Amino acid sequence: MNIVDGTNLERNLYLSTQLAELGIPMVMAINMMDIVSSRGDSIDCRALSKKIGIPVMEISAVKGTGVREAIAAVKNQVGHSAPRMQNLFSGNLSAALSSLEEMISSVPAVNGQNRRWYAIKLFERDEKVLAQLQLSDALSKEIEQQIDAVEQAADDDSESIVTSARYDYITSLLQGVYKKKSQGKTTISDKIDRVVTNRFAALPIFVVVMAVVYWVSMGPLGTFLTDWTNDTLFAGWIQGGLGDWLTGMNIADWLVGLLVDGIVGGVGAVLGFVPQMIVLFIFLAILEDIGYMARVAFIMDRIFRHFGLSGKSFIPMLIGSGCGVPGVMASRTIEQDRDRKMTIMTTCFVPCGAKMPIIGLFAGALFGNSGLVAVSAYFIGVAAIIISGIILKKTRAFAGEPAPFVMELPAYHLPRFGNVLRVTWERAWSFIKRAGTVILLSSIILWFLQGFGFADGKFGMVPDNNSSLLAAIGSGIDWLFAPLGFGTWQAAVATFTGLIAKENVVSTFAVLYNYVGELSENGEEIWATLAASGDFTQLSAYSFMIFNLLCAPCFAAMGAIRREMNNAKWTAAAIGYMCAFAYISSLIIYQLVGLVIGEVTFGVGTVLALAALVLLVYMLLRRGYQPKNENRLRSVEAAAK
Amino acid sequence: MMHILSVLPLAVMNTSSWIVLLLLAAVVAGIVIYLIRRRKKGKRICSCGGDCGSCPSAGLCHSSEQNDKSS
Repeated sequence: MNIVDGTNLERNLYLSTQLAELGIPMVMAINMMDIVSSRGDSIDCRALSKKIGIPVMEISAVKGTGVREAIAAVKNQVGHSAPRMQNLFSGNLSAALSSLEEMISSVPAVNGQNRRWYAIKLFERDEKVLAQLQLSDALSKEIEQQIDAVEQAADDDSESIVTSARYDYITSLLQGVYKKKSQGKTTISDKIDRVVTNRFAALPIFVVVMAVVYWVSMGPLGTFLTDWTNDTLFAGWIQGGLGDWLTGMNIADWLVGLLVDGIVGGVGAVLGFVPQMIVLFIFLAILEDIGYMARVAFIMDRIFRHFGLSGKSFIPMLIGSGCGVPGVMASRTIEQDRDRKMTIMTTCFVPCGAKMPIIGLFAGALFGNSGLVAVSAYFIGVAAIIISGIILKKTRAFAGEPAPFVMELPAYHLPRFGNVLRVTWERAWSFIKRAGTVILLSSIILWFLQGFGFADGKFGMVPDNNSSLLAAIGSGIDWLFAPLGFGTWQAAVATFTGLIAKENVVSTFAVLYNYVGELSENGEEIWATLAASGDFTQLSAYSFMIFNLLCAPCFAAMGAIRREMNNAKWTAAAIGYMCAFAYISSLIIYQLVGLVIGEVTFGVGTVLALAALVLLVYMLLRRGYQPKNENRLRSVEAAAK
Repeated sequence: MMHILSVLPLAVMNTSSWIVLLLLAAVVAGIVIYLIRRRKKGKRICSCGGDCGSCPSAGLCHSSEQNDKSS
């Protein structure tokens, strides 16, 4: 079933002309017919069906109309012939394609069904098809002569000749089929876009929209819901109730500790953020559903282009705001290898859903639930992408113009309640499922590691987790983070457990700080405990948050990077770059801001931070590697022929 | 593993504690089996939890995991 957007029929039929060449039976379902009708336009599906020889159905996926009929048509079409688009190519082009078909008829990979498709791909000089067919030199030369002849006659390159032919065919196909009442009229979407995608207003509007979304989610409303979940539901009812019940049942103390402080404390700390996440997901789902997020990619293209990235790079980043794994995977739509690699290296800078609890934790514990912390985290992610874009584009591996960005902007429409709820629920449920599986297991391991250790030369339970196994491990690496302001073993351990899943940072703090029994009498848990521990100041907490937002993502996302890079060295370079960038950013923020506000005294760390800042500025301002102008070179080469 | 268990005060535990411990062990075993099965099915534990029907790129990551396994 070939689903076509009825509101943009001409452009969508381009793919249909390509699909027809595959020789596979097809049913065409024209979607968004509700919007086509509301605009007063009409599509004569019967006439279109006659012209291309396949069933053409009207559907509206959102409203669910015509879907059953379309599925029934697919069942009926099994075993039928493929669409016929006989007049698609004409004149010299048609003759050349027929010649190519004959020439390649003896090539093993080519058969009667796909011969036409291979001929077109060869005419377009498709590199992948050329590599696959491995044609002999003589045959390649013969094919090239055919292509050259058509190119000279048309005074155009082969790919453009095929493209023009397809659009000419589509124009003829739609004559008498597609009646546009709204032709030339300004639609409501156009009017909204005049403001929302305006050259000057677009970016401020985007900043305001995202600020409002994060402020409401992480600010008053989200905090109210999270406070209730943390303080009343988990700390009061579940943790308190379960503790009392287990003690009443005379359960062993260590088992009560494992269940109440380890599992419920660890999992509860993550689940406590679910209400905030739900509020955030609802807002993001609404923005996606109304069509605003598609505009954001368009808006960001203008900005990203100045920094060596394109709007195409923004789409993986947009997806990455939900989860880094599909975000990294989405980068495969970027054709240029260097742009794709750069996008993979920067996508995980955008805070994903799993990083939200880290932001929520510190915003709640040390910043009085300020929504600005979440907003700043989002924009620091975007800034990290832009800075990385500038720095990396100046290196030999990434130098060159970004690929042009073309995308289809869907018409604005009101959000569907059902859609928003479904998307929000699916995202929230997967977050909850992770808390009940990966986080629960991690909490048990952490509880064991922080509850056991060597005391008086003997291994066993320790009364103070400062002498635990976890403390020993954390103390071995905490010096690394001392220049960043969080050189405690707890913070070092939390950073590393965050690699399993980023929410683990929060559950680690919950297990570590709850264990020492410093919970206040009124049941306030991890936020108050963390703030009271004295391990963090506002500045060092912010530095910790920035480091954990920008450094290596979780193992699942690292696996995605490995698959997409398909190269161990590039994978190591990407992860190494993220960690180095995160370290330098946190170092500069902690040391230099600390020096200004008097929290840090001038020393080795400050000198290192100054050196890092100078290096960063140099990397941003240097001229960098200048590639040859590829387009100009191509024109010169063409002229020389 | 035995060494780890030996440091827990298991010998002095009452029947209720044993029941709770066994229930906990069953839950942990269930989670481990669940995670292994998901991994075998090609569903990794990313934030979408493998059920990212709502994600526009769901087909990108999860179908590729299936393909990776089958190839």
